Amino acid sequence: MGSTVSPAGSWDACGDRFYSKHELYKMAWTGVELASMRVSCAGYGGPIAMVRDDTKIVLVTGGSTRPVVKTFSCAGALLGAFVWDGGRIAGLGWTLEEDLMLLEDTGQVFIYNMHGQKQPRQFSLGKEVQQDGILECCLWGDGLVVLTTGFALWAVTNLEEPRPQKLASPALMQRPHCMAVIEPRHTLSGHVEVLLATETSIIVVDADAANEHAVASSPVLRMAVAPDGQFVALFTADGRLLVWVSDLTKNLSEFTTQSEGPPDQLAWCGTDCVVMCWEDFMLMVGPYGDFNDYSIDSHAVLVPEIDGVRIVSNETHELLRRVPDCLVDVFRPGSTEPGALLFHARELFDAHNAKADEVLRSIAGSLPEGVATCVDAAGADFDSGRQTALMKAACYGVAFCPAGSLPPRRTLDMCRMLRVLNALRQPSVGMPLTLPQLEALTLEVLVARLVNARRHLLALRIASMIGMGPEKVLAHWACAKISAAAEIPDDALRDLLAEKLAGCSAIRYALIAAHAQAVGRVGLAAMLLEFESRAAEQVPLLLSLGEEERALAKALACGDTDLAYLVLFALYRKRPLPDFLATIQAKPLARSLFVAYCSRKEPELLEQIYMAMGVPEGVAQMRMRQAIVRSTSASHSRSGGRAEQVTAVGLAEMTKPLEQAADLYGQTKDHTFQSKAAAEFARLRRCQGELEAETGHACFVGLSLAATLRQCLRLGNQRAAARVRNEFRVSDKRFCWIKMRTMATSKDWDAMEAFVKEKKPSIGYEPFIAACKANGAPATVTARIIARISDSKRKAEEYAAIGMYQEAAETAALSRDSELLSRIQNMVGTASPLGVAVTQIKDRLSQTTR
Amino acid sequence: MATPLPNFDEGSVPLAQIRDEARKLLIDALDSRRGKKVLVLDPKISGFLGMLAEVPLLKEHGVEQLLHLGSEPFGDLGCRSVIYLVRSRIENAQLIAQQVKASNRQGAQLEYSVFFLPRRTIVCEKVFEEEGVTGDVIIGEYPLDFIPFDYDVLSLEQDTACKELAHLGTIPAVKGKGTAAAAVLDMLSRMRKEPGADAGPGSGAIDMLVLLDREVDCVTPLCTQLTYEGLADEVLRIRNGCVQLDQGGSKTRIVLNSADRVFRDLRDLSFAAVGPQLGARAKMLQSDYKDTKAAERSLSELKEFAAQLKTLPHITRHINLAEQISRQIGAQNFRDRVTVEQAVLDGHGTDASCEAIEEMMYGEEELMGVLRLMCLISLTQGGVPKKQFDALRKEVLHTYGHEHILTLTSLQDAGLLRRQEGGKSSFGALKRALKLLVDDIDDKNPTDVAYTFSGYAPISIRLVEAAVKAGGWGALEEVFKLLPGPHFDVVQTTDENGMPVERSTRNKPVPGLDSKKRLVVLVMFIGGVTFAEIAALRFLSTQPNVNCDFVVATTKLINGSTLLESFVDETVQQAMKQAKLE
Repeated sequence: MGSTVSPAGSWDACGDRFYSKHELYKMAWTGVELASMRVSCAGYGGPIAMVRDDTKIVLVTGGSTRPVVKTFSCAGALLGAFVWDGGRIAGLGWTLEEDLMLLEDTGQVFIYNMHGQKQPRQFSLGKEVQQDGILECCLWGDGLVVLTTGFALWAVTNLEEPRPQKLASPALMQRPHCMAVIEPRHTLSGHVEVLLATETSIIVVDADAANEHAVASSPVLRMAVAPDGQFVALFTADGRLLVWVSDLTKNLSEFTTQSEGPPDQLAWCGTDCVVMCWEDFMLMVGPYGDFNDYSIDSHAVLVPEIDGVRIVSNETHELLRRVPDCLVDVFRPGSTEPGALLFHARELFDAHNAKADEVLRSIAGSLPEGVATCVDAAGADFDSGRQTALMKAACYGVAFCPAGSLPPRRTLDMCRMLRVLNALRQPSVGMPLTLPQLEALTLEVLVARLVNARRHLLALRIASMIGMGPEKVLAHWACAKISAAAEIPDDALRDLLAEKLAGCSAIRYALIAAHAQAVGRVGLAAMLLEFESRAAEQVPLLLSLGEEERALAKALACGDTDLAYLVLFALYRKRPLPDFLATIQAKPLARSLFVAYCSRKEPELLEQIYMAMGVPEGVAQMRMRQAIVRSTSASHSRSGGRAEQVTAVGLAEMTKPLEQAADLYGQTKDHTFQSKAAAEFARLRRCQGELEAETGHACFVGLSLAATLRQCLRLGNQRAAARVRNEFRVSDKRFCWIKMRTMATSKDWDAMEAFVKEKKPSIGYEPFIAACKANGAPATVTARIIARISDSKRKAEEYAAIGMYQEAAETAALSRDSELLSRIQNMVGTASPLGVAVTQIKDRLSQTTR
Repeated sequence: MATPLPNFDEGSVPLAQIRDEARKLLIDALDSRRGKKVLVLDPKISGFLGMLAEVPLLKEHGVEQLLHLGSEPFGDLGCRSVIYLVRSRIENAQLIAQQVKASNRQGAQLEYSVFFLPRRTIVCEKVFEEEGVTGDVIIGEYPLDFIPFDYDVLSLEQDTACKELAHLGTIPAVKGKGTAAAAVLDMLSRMRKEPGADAGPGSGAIDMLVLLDREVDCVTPLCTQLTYEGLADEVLRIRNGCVQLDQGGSKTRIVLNSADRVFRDLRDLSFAAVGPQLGARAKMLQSDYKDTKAAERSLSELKEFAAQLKTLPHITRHINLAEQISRQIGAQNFRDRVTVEQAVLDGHGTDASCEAIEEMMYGEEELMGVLRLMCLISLTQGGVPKKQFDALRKEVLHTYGHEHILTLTSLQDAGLLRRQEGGKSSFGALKRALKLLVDDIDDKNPTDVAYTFSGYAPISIRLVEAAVKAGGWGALEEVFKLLPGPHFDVVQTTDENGMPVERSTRNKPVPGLDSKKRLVVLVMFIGGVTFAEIAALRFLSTQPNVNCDFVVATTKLINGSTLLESFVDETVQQAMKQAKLE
């Protein structure tokens, strides 16, 4: 390629638009007969896979009868091949990562890379699919949908975590004419939708519902969803082509063909054209009913792209697309667009023709527009000669553009993109991407794809061009190198890898080591792991290399509990319990993590661990919890319904673990207090059981000691209270408080007064007064108790506090406390009658003291 | 009522980003299942979820019902999708497994998605595997870590994980004290070495990071906070930025954050200064009102006045709140508690204090209040005196139930409570070295952070204060020996190969402290922070000799009671709840 001839000659007008059919490659393959093959082509210029189509009769000419799956680049170069020894193949498809999905009739999905190597991940669509078998299937980059012979639809919408999901039942009575899928990323709901064409309608099925839409009077035989998921093209039995909005709410166009039968293939060309393909004839229908027809030599496979459709045939690989506007502007015969004039001016300039200046002047005002058009046209053109010419024209224009009228770096960026595109289009690489496709794919994804295609050098160069770190490319290269270098000894290979990878600090050596291990080079894996600085990366691999101790140490050192658990579970599974315990014994963090897990999940195991480690208080704690839970649930069930006394059995269930806890706590010197307390706890529960039996009130078990005493007193059972008090050696003072609070909370003021009157309480009067106030005792009661205080200063304060200012003042006068008197005065205000009285008292006081 | 959210954009670091990101992640999680769905929440999450997304937003994304996590099977839900949003804890995974199994047994045709917060863990997956529900649930994660509580407060609302500090970019200077602090530094430096990390010096919005492990200063949370916000938390419990106010039998919810201008001005004041302030504001409004009537003012002045009037409901609200607080702190038991606290901090009359604590138990005051004082004595006096240790513990059991054997034991295991074994407590030396006790605090015009605890300056804040003042931590060598855990003072930078490294800057002044630009200092409290400490930091940044603004990050907002409650065994908590019901 390298001409500067206008491409317009090869354009076909279709309505007011132009379309071009451009030959991308002459296929490098030989002897391929697409007509007898089942073919799947990955989008965005990805690889092609094919296998013999077992529904078509072919002449077997010796050799194995097992089908061979072959993969090719877009240029027809063989990438890989493998013999398929599974069952009937129901479908072929490419994932977004350009791995090949092979769907077996049993619902088993196998994944191969583009080089024909089987990948470890595979999954099944489940029992139902296996039993029924597959009638129809649709595969796309990130999922697949199958229709079983039992007319059930199953979908997987995320290949990372394949989880077969049964969609709503379409309620089919017979096999649908055809099936199509709207990918989740294109639907409003974000979930997959399946279109099924029946005799009378189209059924749209998603996870929750199946809705029927009548779209045509005759059955739909072919369906195709546009690349952006917005439209769906339908071909009916009466030879009409219909385009509907993909939710089937609106018909956009209708085109009648005179075809007898449906096309072999129906595909979108970009998002505004539909292409139909019969045996030797191809028809393209534009959005306004304009059409073009093409004759074709051999069977062709249509591959829709976002801006066109690729046509793969036995000999050639072509791209049919709408000619981008920028190219039309420049090259349409007679065009006077700025782009065309600028291009012309440059041609004149190169020919040393002075008219160049004149032409340039004629577009002066729209020069930036002309530059932009030429740059875009260069991006859109496949021919490198014309790309150069267009870029030159653009540069010529740039020189005369006012500053700031052009986006900076525009031409530079386009040159870079063109270098990338041209490199990709080389037949040796075979990725015929257009600029819009590359932009949609993004350079990051492109790099990943190149890496998968083992084009490491190209990937590395593109990565460095866009400022992406080289680590991913290098790591993949290292893995590929390891796979391919079986004959190089471990240390030599390590040195070779280390040399190339040295400059890059972000390399994840663990991944490379994992790969080395996976291909059976354990020694190399261990060596490579030495380079890894991140514990999180090392741990899983160390585990699989059988170095658990090192793994545990690393996991604990990095403080990631999740990682530590990973190692612990692996260790626990692998080793006999005593060994396991010995391993974690010395590592407190490991121990406490495992204990935390066990205390939730495996209490018996935890007990074993505690005992083995000599931590009886741990077991004691578990017993305590047991007793508490039982006690709580007992009182819970009682509070709900009728109050029933706790049975002897129920009581024993609580006390037994407590006694055990007491024993266990007793085994260590540091837990004497706990041991005694646990024993006391058991005694308390038993004592409460007895009280319930005696009194016939089911209201003791579960209370604290203080509350038990209060309950006895509340029931008027002084004898029981005394007994409990003695048994648990409750001090006089404490018991007095309990009595007082019981009387106060049950507002038994008479009893309280009687109690106070009997003899001075050991806790003084203040708590009584406080309790009176807190529980709303009548002021007279409180006052009478206050009256008993002997210290007159305190007495006066208390009077004042409950608002008995007169008494307060008098008492204060008695103790000659003029400071307090002033305060009281402030409280009541000097002007009030009380205030006056207080003033008098104060005056009297000051006179007497004088 | 929609919760007014604080304006996250006005702080030194735009926290709105974090909130918006969290909200987007939540919506993504909800949208992962189509149609109507039931959202099942871990109760620990539902509180702060309200700070991210309001109920209508959830409705918009198909949430028909909100449930709390439980193990009972679902009845008729009216839809097929169930989304769990729970912390990745073993017990949560277990509850989910039980619920899924129970529902499946009843023949419910449901689809379960579980989103673990902040990430899915191997342990939880293991639980699902063992319970045999791995095939029934779709596991995802909701990588929410920091929750912005206010324009300068971030909380992880959980116990561990400081990973997200790395999102804030590389912080040039890092100081820290305590075991967990050292672990975080270790983690940070490891993360800087990971691919994709931004290793260059000074790439973030933050100039200095101070990491403090709560173990360094357990004394402070045990003391009663005496700022407005602190007291509101002490007596009414601030939960997820709100308090419930009981007014004449009807409960009202008051949102407390900086969106409320009145609160913003008052929150950090000593409570003693709040009443007069509120009064003054109300009066000013009143007099303005009169003036406006008397003379016809210009429109712009009227507008200003109208804007001020808008704060009137806020003022009334705060008058109510302050009234409630002052009623509670006026009560004898509150006053007694503070008296004991002061005596303990002073180091006088331990015997009398123990006696007072005993009496509190006789009066059956709240257990946490009692335990706070016991722990405070233990921490400041080098343990509880021998003769009272057993008596106090015994009385706890007798009054509050023997279940608390477990509580006491775990407090002892944590070192918060122990028997005096001779030897002097380091608190006395600490008190002198850091000037923890400050006399003559003017509550209304404070000059020292000690106003936040009425004369006691938090150890934590004194450490931060030293860190940001000229001289740095160099002068504190002796003090650090008295506090637990290692300490460090490093600069995060890169070596000649561009690899991230840490260099010690011990005893050198902090770079940029003397510069004109105000520094942004992130103070990370690992193990929780109190409102009074946050107030103290805000106060500190207003001081003339401090040239920086603080952003506070923490694992949890705490006070002494919530801190100690975390030591109460779950079974005991259940028992306490049951006892309350009866």
